[in-house]
Amino acid sequence: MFRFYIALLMGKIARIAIKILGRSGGTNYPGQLALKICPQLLAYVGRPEKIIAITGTNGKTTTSNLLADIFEKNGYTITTNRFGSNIDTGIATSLLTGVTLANKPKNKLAVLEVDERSSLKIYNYIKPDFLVCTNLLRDSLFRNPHPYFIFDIIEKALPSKTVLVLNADDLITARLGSLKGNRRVYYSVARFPEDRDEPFNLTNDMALCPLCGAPLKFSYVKYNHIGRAYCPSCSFGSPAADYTLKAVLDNEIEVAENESEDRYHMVYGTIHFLYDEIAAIAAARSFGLSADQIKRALADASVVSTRLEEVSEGEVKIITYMTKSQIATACSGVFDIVRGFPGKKEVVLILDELHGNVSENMSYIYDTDYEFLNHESISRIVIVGARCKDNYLRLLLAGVPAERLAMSETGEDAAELLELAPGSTLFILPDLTQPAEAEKIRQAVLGRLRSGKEA
Amino acid sequence: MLRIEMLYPEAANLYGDRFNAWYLQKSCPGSTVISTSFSDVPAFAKGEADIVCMGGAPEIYQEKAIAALMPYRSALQECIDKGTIFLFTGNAVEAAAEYIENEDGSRIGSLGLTKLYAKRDRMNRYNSIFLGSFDGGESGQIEIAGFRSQSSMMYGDNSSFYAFASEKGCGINRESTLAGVRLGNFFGTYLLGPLLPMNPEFTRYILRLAGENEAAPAFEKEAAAAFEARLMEFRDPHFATENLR
Repeated sequence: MFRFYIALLMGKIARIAIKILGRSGGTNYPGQLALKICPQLLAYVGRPEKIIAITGTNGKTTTSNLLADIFEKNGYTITTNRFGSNIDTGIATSLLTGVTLANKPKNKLAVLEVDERSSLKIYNYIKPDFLVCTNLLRDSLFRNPHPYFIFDIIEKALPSKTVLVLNADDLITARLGSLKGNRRVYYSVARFPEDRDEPFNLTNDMALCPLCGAPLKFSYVKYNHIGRAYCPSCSFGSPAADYTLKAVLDNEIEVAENESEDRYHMVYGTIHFLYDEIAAIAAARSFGLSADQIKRALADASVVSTRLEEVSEGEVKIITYMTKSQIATACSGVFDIVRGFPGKKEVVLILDELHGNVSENMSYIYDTDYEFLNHESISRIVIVGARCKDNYLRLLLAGVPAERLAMSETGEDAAELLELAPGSTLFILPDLTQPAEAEKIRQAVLGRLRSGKEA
Repeated sequence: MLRIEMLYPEAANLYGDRFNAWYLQKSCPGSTVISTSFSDVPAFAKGEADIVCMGGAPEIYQEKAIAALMPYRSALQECIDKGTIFLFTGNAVEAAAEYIENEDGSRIGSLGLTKLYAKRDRMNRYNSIFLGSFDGGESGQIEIAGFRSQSSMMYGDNSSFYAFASEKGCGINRESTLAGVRLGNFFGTYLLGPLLPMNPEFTRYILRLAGENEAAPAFEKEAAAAFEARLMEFRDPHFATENLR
C-alpha cells in the first residue's frame, strides 16, 4: 500500500503541476505516472459507491456525456473522465482526482467512458455496477480486427454481477453476458419509415446466425447490422427491449417502457444520436432515476459542438459534423446522413492527414460507403488532405462523376472550390484530429459568403 | 470477359477485400462477379471461374471458410495446376498453410497447399506499411505498396514460392523478408483487401495473366497518382514502418 500512496501523491502533484503550467495531458499523464509507480493502482484506489461504465465502438462519448449531464443536473457530483482519456491511464487519472489524499472517495457516483479494448485492464479491478454497451462495429483496423474480437475481450473481462445495458438492435452487443448470466437491460429503436428491409451498407458483420450458421433475416435495418433480425432456422434473434424509442415527434422522442410511455427532449434527430440518447435514458432508469428526473435533465441537452455544429450565413447552412476517420462504419453513417439531408448539398471531406511520422491504413475507405455520396443532391465534394488522391479514386469507384470532385491537398483553396449556392447546405466532415482545419475552412467559407462572392 | 469468383463474401470481407474483385470487374467491363456463399459449390470447382478471390475474415469465419473449401481441395489444386488465378488476401492466405495454431496451442487444419503454418497472437496485432517488389516475369519487377494489419503470422520456408520481396514491412513473419505465397497463379498475401485498386500495375499484370491484354486498370491515371503518392510516403525514411494509425 505504501507504493500506492506514493503513486496517489505523485499523480495528484502531476495533475496540479500540469494545471499550473498550462500544459496538456492533465487528464491522462497523472494516471500514467501513478500506474507506473503502482501497477496495481486500480485495485487500491478508492471508488465511488456506484460506477456506471459506458463502452462500445461508436457513441460512447456522447452517451457518457448525456449520462453525466443527467446525473449532474439531478444534483449528483460525479467522478468522470468526460474530458479525458478512456483507457486505463485516463480512468486512473479520473479516479485519483476523485479521491482525497487519504484515498477517500469524494463522490458517490462515477460515470466512466471505457475504451472497449481496455476492458481487461480495467474491469479486473473496477467492477462497474452498470455497463452500457452502445454497439460493436468495425473499428480502426490497427487496434481491433473485427467486432467479434472486441466482443470476446469484453465478455472475458465482464464481472458477472454487473448489470448490462445493451443495444438490443445490435446482435453482437446483445449477446454480451450470456455466458456469465449477467442481468441484462435492453434498449431499442423502433422501425421508422426510412428504415430498410435488408442490410444496405458495404459491411454487415451479422450476416450469419452465430448458433447455426444460417443467413439471418432482418425485420428492418438502421445501418450496417444494426436493426432487428432473426434466424429462420433456429430460435436466435434480437431480444425484446425494455426501453424502446418508438417515435420522433418534432423535438421530442417517445419512449416506451413496460406499459408506460414518456416523452423526452430530443438531443439530435439522427439515428446515431437517437441510439445514444435511448442508451442514456435506459441506463439512468436502470440506475433508479425517475423518468421525470431524466426529462428535466435532458430538457436543454445538446450535442457538444466539437461533434456537431450548425451555422447559417445568408441562405447557406454550414454543418460541421465530426466524422471519425479510420472507422468505416462511422464514416458511412455520416455519409448516409448527408445523403438523406434535404436540399442541395456540398461536402468537404477532411478525413485523412499526415500524423507526424505515422502512416494511416487507408484500407478502411474500401469498407466505407462512399457510394452514399454518389447522389444527385450532392453537387460537389472537395477532398482535403495529404491522401486526397486515395479518396478521389475511391469516390470515382463509387460512381461519383469526376466533374463533381475537387481536391485540395492543403485545404487552403477548399472554400474557393465550392459553389455555395443560395439555399444549399455545406457539410464539413472532419476527422476528430482535424477540428482546426475544419474551422479554418469554415471561416474561409463564411468570409466568402459575407463578402458576397457566392454564386 | 472474366468470370471472377468471390469466395464467402458474406463473411470473408474484412478491410474492403471485395474491392479486388470489383476493381477487376470495373477494369474489364462485361466481366461477371460470382458470389459463392458457404452453402454453394465453388465456381472454380465447376470450372466456371477465371479468377478466384477470397478476403480476410474473423477467425471463426476463416475457419468456416477453410472447412468449406476442404472438400474442394483437390479441385483447387487442379485449378492451380491449370493456371487459374487465385488472389487470397489478409488472413485468407493462411488457407495455403498446413495448419493454424491458436494461442493455447490447439490447431486448425488448413488446406496444406504449402508446408507453412500460421500462429495466432490476437492480443499483439501487427500493423505496418508494406513496400516490396513482385517478379512479373516479362512484365519486369513491379513495385507493391500496401498495408498490413494482422493477428497472426506464418512460419516455415517460403523462399521458393514467396509472392513479394519486402523492402519495408516484414515477410510472412517478423524475421522474414519474403512475403506471401505464390504457387503458379495462386497469390496469397497478408496485404489487406484493396490490394488491386492500390496497385494498378499489379492489377495490369493480373489482367494480362487472365488473357485480358487490352484491359487497363480502372481509373488508371487516378489510381497511378494515388499509388505514386503512397510510394513517396513509404520511401520517406521519416515515416515509421510499423505503428500505423
